[in-house]
Amino acid sequence: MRVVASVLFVLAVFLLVTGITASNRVELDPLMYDYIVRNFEEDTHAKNAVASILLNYRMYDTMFEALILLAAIIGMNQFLPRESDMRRHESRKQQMEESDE
Amino acid sequence: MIETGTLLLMGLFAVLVIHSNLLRLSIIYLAIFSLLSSFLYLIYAAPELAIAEAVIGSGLVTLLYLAALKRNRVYTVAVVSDEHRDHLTDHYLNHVERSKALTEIRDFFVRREYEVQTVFVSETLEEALQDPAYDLVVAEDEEGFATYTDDESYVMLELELMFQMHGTDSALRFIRYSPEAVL
Amino acid sequence: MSDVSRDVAYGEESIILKTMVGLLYPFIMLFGFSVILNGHYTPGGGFQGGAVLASLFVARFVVYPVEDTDSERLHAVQRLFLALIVLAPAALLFTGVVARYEALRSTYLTLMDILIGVQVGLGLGVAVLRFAFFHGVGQTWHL
Repeated sequence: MRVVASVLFVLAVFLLVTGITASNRVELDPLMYDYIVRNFEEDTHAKNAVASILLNYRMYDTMFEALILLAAIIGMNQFLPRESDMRRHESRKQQMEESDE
Repeated sequence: MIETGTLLLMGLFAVLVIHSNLLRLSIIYLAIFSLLSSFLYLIYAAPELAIAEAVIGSGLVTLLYLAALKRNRVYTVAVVSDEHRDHLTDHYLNHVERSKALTEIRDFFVRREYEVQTVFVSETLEEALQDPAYDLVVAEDEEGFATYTDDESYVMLELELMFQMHGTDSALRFIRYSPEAVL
Repeated sequence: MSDVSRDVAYGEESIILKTMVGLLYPFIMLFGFSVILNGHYTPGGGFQGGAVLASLFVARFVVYPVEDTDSERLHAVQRLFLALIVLAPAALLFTGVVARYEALRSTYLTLMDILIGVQVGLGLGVAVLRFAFFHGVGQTWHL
């Protein structure tokens, strides 16, 4: 049942996506689209509209995307064991052995 | 035509990722999914994006998932004792906790970044061997510590091989059993 | 006990892997930088080039599992680049300097691409080194 449901879901998404691709010329907001396509070369001197959007029109998005990467790495640094933890483990083991003797 | 076929294959692998029984298999399906999507970028005339997707999706993310999958398990070491079953004394706890055998076992797990916990159980040895919650059962007798390991677990096999190849300071003996035979 | 796993792990070195990664290494680096520097001409950009650069760390560590990569220092450099990523648009874009002076526009794009590329490359590299290869290949590599 779950398999059938997920297969149907994937097929529905597929049809939706291809349907939008077939009819996208009408549906996009014409104002923004036209402005960017017409003016991005003079505005940003980029040859590629994607680069001009990422680095100029929508710069806040790019900034916070970089911030998300930093947050992920800070989390990793905080929660994963480090070299110093391993050394502490070793020294505790040695202490226990010495106290045994 | 090629585009439609790739999209349908991506859908197929997306379903496989969700419905495969083994997590490791899911990760491989996810890598194939990423590879197909990078092929799709290539069709859409963005070779740089295709390379980046192949590097991230099939390389780095697969690696991270495999590493994460490998260490998310907690191994439970159960200590069984006949005479101390009903009255655990501090002396006995210290004796076991600081014994070379348990330290070496714990060391093995910590060095592999597995979580390991030691529990003192009040069950008999046979009951503890049948309990699926314990990965490793340690019992002390006259000759030292005996370790009972499941003979189908690769990690336990690795543990045993380590001690066989490089020796052990404590007189640790390994006894393999299959849970079905005990039952 | 401390030498046990190391012996087992470092024994498995593949000459094919070493040779091929050694041959490809400079080309991967060149490709990464070319993707970054051509960011405003092609669909790629800082993030894509950075991901290619991050694979260099992985390739190097797979071939020579020497733990001399100081992930703390890499992380510090990455934080510095993140500060620059915030500061450069604040100084150039949001104040309207780029909009006023035409000559600065493509320079600004290239600068941002380089900053983002290095930041993402270091970030993903640190993440993989810290997470997957922590404490030697042998400790975690028998997946």
